[in-house]
Amino acid sequence: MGAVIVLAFALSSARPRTVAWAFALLAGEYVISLEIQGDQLDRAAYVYAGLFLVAGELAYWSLELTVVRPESTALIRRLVAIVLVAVGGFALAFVVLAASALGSGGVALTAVGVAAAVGAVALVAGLAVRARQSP
Amino acid sequence: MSRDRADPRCRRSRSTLGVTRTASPKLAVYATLAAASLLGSLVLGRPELAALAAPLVLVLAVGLGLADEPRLTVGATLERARVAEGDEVALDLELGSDRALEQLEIFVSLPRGLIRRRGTAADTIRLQKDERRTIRRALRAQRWGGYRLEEVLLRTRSPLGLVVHEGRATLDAELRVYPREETLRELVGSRETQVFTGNIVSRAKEAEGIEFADIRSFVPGDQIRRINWRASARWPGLWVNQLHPERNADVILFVDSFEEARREDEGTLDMAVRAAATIARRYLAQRDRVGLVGFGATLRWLLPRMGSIQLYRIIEALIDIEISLSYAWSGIDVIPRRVLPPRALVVALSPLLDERSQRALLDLPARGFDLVVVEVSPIPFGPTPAGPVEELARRLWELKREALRSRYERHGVPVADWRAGTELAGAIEGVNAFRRYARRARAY
Repeated sequence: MGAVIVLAFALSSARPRTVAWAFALLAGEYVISLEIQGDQLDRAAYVYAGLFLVAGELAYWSLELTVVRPESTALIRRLVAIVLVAVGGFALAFVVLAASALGSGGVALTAVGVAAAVGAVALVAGLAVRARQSP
Repeated sequence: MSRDRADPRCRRSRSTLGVTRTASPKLAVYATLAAASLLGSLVLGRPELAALAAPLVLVLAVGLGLADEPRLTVGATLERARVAEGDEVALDLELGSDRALEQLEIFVSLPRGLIRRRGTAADTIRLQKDERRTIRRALRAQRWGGYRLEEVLLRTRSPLGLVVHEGRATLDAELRVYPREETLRELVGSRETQVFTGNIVSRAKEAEGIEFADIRSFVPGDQIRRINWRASARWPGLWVNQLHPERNADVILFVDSFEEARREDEGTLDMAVRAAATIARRYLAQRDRVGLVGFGATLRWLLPRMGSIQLYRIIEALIDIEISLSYAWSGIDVIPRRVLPPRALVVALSPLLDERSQRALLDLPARGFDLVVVEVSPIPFGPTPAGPVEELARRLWELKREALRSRYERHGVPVADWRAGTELAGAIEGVNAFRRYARRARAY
């Protein structure tokens, strides 16, 4: 609930950094809720993941719209892109959840997970280095 | 490209932009959340967190894959290079890209004094691959002056908004905004006139004008073209037309640019420039010679001349006048003698704030010039007194200005108080009334 309030404040005042913290809080709240419910798999996790993505896309799109007013066709195209990405996100999250529900994982799957995590961390690190180097 | 004199449009400039690529805040947030979720999934053993990260990774992969750097070109043309205050002028921007762009944001940096007629500060358009498209935007010139449109910023985002490409281009478009006219019904009559032939003062006491005066008998030496054939057919002998001699005045506009009083977008210099342009136009229309002296930290002058070209020379010189700080003493001596011809009427437009211009104006009647002063009053531009002490200080200041005006009037120089929001015609009528009264007083 707190994250939703922070997100509402961030969007109403058009603060991108506060939006980032709001989504971090949302993710943190979800982690806490998972820990509270114990070892049981949250079968609706893919729904949360898809909605999380949709919220992020709409939030950053609303920030872009405070700066410029695009043509109406561009608005429609962006909306279609968000819908497509959301559908893809739902599907991919479902696949990941289903794959984890099928078996204990195994070495191969763990390796894929580690590689994905390392890749994501490397991307973040690269962005941070480039941000520090840019004038 | 060279400027075509016959074409009033500003020259077209076209350039290819150097594009910089930056990550949007969304990219950083998605990458961080995805990495944290994946690590959390591994550490805590929660596959739900991997599912949470999966859509974010999908967006990152697709978004970065579609984020190609475009090659942008931009060209700018102003509809006209010269407009009047309050007029609108169109700015045409020709934009091109080698890739399809869903949303190209355009920001034109406008100098103070130019505004967009309506709409937001930025525009967005969509461009197809290899398309060149021209957009037209209306600008309004709020204040006279010379303006340069220097820069345009173009920004485009990748399809999912993860990467931002920006480029800046130099426009190099110049716009000259001429001052608007003030209301003026009559001019100040010059006490001394001279005989002109074009821009040359005639040495003859009488020179031929163009206005019919009378007819007289032909005498040897008269020009054949002056014979009035109709009258000659009616009466015996030949008769010739007599014309009024061309008698015109030298008028020098004296614009004080040492100091000004200003509030927000309007100041005494703005009023003085508009008045000078209006007065110059009227005197030149009645075939007087008009010159200009911009008396300030930077001294500018124009020799007195006739004609419409002189009007544009004067207006161009007025546009370039600006207030700049200087403590150097300047007097009338610094003005070349040719700029102030003998017996010229000097119309001074000054807020009478700077002692240098006050002294210089007092020197002019002492040197035999016919001087009138239009005091562009700084009082409306001063701060509103907040208390009794400030009110008293303001009254003392106004009294001091009254004393200065009286000093000029004792030397026979009329000083008209012209305030913002009132017509210039009222001030000129005040000057003319003083000169009529002063003549009657001398008769007694």
